[in-house]
Amino acid sequence: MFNSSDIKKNFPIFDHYPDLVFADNASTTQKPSNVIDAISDYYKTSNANVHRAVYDLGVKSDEIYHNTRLKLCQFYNKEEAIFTGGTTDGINKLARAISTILENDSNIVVSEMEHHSNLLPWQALHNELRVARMTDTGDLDLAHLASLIDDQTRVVSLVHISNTLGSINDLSKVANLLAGRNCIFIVDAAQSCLLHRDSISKINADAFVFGAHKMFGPSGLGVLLAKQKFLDQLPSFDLGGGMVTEVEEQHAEFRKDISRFEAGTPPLAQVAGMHATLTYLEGLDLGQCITHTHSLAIKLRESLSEIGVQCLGNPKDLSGIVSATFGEIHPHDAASFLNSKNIAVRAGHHCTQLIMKKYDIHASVRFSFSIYNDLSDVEKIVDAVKSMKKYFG
Amino acid sequence: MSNLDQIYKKQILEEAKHPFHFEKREGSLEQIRAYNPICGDRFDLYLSENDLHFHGFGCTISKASTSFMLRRLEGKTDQEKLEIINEFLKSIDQNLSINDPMLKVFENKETFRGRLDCIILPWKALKEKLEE
Repeated sequence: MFNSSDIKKNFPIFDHYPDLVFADNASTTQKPSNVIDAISDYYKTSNANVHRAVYDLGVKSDEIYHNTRLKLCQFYNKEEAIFTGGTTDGINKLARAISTILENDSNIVVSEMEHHSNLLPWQALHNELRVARMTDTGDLDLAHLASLIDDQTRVVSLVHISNTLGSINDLSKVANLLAGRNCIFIVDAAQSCLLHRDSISKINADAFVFGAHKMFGPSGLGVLLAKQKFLDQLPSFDLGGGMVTEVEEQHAEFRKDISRFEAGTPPLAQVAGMHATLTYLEGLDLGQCITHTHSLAIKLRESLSEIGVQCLGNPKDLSGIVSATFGEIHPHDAASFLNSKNIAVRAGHHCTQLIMKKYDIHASVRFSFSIYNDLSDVEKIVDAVKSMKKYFG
Repeated sequence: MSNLDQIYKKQILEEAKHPFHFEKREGSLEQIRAYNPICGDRFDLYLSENDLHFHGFGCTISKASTSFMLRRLEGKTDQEKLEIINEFLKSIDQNLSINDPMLKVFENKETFRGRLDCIILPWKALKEKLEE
């Protein structure tokens, strides 16, 4: 039986702040004890550089690094896992590498729901950028997306779960749409990597990018899951140590395996933390977790609606994210007020200015729930919003 | 006084509700934009020879701060405006006491943690323009 109170005990931040309602999980998540301990233990018991070490400590560190990569592939049922600096870093690396294999007349398709990190790297290329619309409910407009794809479409890069609206896009349908085409399909899984393992494992895409910090893991580490065949087409992202077979004065021969995508010393302790993150997630019923966070978001939407608060969109398939505006009360004033009630939320455009423009607003307040939130958090938020309306009224 | 009431002092709330010269003046000599891309606050400042106006979207703090700024700078020469702006920005940056009775509401950096950008938004925009 799912019990958020038991889960909350795994996250030491709540020992320090027992009254904290942390509803900013779309920005970053809190960390369970086993992840914090794994990072600390790594430095205490395993710290040595990976690759080429023959001494015991180096081999131990190498095993942790290698095993985490394997565990990621198994967890998400993907062929390869490359460590990056985060979601943004992963997409930037992909965009730069892909730009070298695009023809001048190739076009790229994204949507207006994208986080800027899945928009700006593609804008920076010199290819035509096509932007699929979303519906008023905040769902990806699949018909419009389909109308944008033609024989020159070489890249489709889409968000799985909107970090602003919480909508879960049915990307399996997009994968079907692209089947048989000479088109790279990339998924921004920043908001889905935590709970939507099953969905990610089923989507037939070339690459998935996400950051560990959004899934109870350490900051500074990202993951790029990819098909081997896709990676074979790409040049190395960066150049440096650990990726060559032979180096001459004027040229070098590169290794064929994925080490050619990870130049230099990787974030070792973070990778050790990532291993613990996956272990933690393996102990959860992720289906129940999805249901729980969804039910909190639905409850919040309903409760806010009852007191006249407008939530953005009304997605068909909703995750644990809800954005709202409060009429004359500016989102930053709202966030400051909620902070005075120990409620942590984010205010702004959430790096999704296209969504703000779609709804003709400048900013919103975003509530994003995780598995340690519960119904009492929703009630506290709704009570605080009622008080806020009086305060600023 | 709670921390919230320290941020949203009565004078700040009142000023944001009834801002000074809050109207579009498209025919002004100069128009500059004070924009915070992080939160989306966006005020247009209309600069004429004798007065200043502003219009746009922003939070209580940035709106009140812009309104106070216009009150303080009206009728001043460009040089005088720049001196007042620099003194105010220095006070905020270095957490100095503020002698100006109207601007004193923004004293004490600690009170406005996370909201300092809201305070300085219009001041920085006008400073950049005057220093051109």
